[in-house]
Amino acid sequence: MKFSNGFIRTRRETPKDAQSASHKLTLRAGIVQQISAGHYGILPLGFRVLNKIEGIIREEMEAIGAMEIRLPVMQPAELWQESGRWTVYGEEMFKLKNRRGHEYCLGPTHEELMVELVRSQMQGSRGFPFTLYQFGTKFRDEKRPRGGLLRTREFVMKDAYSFDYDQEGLDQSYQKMRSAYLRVVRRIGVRAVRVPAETGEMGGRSSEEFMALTPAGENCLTIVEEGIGKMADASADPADVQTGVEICHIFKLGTRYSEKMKLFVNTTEGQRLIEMGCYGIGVSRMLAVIIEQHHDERGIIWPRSVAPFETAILTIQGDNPEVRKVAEETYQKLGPSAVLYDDRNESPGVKFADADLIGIPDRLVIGPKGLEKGIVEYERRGGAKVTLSLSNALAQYEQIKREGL
Amino acid sequence: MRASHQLFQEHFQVPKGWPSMPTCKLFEEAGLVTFSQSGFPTFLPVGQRLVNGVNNVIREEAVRAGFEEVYLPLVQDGAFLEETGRANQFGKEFFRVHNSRLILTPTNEEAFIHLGSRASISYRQLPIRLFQIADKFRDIKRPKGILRSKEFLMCDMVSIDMDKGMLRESAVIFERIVEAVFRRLEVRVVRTEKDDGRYVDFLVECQEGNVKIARNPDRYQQGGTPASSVAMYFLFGQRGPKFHGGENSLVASHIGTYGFGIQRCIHAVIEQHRDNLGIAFPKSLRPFDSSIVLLDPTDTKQMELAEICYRHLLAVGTKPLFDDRPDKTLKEKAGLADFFGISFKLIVGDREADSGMVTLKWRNGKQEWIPPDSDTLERILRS
Repeated sequence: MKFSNGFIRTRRETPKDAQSASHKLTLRAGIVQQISAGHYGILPLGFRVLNKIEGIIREEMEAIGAMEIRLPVMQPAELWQESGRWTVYGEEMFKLKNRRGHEYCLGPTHEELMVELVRSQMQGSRGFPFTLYQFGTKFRDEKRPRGGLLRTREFVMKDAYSFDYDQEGLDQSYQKMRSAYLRVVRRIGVRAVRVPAETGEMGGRSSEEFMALTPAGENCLTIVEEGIGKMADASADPADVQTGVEICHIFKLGTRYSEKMKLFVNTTEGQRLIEMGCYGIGVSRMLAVIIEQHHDERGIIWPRSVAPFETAILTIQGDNPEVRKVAEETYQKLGPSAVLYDDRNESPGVKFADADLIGIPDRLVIGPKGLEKGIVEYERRGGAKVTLSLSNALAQYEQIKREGL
Repeated sequence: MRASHQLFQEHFQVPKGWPSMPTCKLFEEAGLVTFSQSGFPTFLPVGQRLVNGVNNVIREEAVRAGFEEVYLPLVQDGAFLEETGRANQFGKEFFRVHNSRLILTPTNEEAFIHLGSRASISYRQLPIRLFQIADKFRDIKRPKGILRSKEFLMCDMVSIDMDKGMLRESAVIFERIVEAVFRRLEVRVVRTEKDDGRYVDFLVECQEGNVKIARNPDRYQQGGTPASSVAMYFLFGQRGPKFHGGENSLVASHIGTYGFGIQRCIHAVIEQHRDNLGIAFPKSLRPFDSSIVLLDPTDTKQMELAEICYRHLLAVGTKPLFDDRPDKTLKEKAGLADFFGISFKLIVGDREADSGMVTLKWRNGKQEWIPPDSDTLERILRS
């Protein structure tokens, strides 16, 4: 895309009320815009990242045989009364009535609707086990939304639900999902540890959270071994305590919901309750967490796998015909969908500062002096610089992407 | 997708009496969508593939034409609609959140304008062309399947333009997107306009639709055959956010709003692609592109060969339906593949298991005997 055609609004000044790095940078780089308290719009640059995160998650879900569906956002009160959770969420649940006075909530999660779907669709005991997932908007009326996308009232989640005959089956489904989540987190480029956690209002037998380590986190934890942490208690040495943000939460719900909502199969020994698991990834929160872990004082440094654009083309004296010609050709060859070409009539200082702020991982710098010498500069955002020969620049760039510098 | 690992197995058969079934009902009977309560669709796995398919086609064409995708909240301040004076238009159709001014978005023009106006705009940044694909909410009185639901998926687009000329340009670009999208979805649409072309509707003939079109010798007009609207646009004119027009002057921009009804697009595809075997999906929207018909899943040799076929098909990047159900006949499995418009089936039975070759049967009845290696399968998929 050409910068001049894009809806990109960068800001130099740091927003007053923003504290965490991701909150500041999402606002400054034009990744998000607050529409009302706790409700954010995600702007085109941010949306590209969101789309890539979704793509990675979808691939990993399909790879373990989970099936995508889509449940309504609005959920009838009766189902929540049946599971006994209508009052559990209290003020945090957005509630509303339709024109006939029937009560609904905006789903903070989807266990009830999932159970309702399964029990209405199942045919005897056939088809189990299976795992369903969806991407969608979730709602929680937080008293104090904070930290930009870290804690909002409306957020994008991927939630998945597994249904098994017995505990062994649930253990297997749970393990498969846990490995898939580990792959997702690694591919997205986030460092996280697994932490055994409370099951809270979700209920069930046990749960684990994936905590991304960052100073912006609200949860205190200590690292027990490689990749595994534990919630810090009073006995923890303050020097060992780190903070983390929850990015995924996986639950062995067991029969918590199948018992209340009567989800069972008939066997020769009588009725057998279905064993459930549920698994969530905060997709919009992940966007903020990536920034928390990948930035410097000048701006964001996106991992390639989720970058809004892989390559930025920057020019010095962009109106020089030779510079423009080479930039335009490079842009066309790399493909407009993967490249942000800064074609604006701005000083190199402004363009470089914006490129740093937006955080495109690779940049190609094209200027008149370089062209005279027959070179184009390659620069890794937050990393090394090398010169490429003009005649062979793209092949050399591809090699750098494949093999590193 | 493995047919045996399916909660929705009961749907994995050709619905009885489908040829005479209205399309909305076919959606439910074929297991594409289900309604736990009237007006609120749940898309089941095959239906969700259609949703993703239509979303991708629209997304690709919109991005190619220079529109950029955003996320806007599903909940917004009711005051936005009061400001533009459109609150009355929706009347009782609003869903209002308890104890707050928040409403569920029935439409998103206001939020788009809000995005545009908060970031101070210079004339050099115009046009701004944005879109989103998201749920909308309207408490309508008479919902009708996926054609008219209370919660529904829409692609909304907006353009913020400098002047009338630029707005017209945006409209022309949108018309090109419409053309490209329906060409790829292989859906015939009829264009109707009102108010000197400020309001344009793209309709498909549809027995279950709630508007009417009549054929006139030269062009289509309102009135006559039932139809449903699959895309539309409205050019508001000079009512957009203000921008800096140079020389310190603030000028109101022109805005246009555009949209696709995602669910109606899927409905139109199915309505227009029903044939004697089922739904001959266009290439751009096939939920499955191949099928493995395994005759006896309890036979180890057959199962092994079928698994090899499945792995190869997945590896060449396709969407196979692996029909490994033990309690269905060859006829039922092959009939299902034809019903879902799958272009070819690989049949694996005793004869195949003994020879290591498989029977390839096209939807049009032609048959071949092939080795199920990835090169052969890739060649067939590309053909």
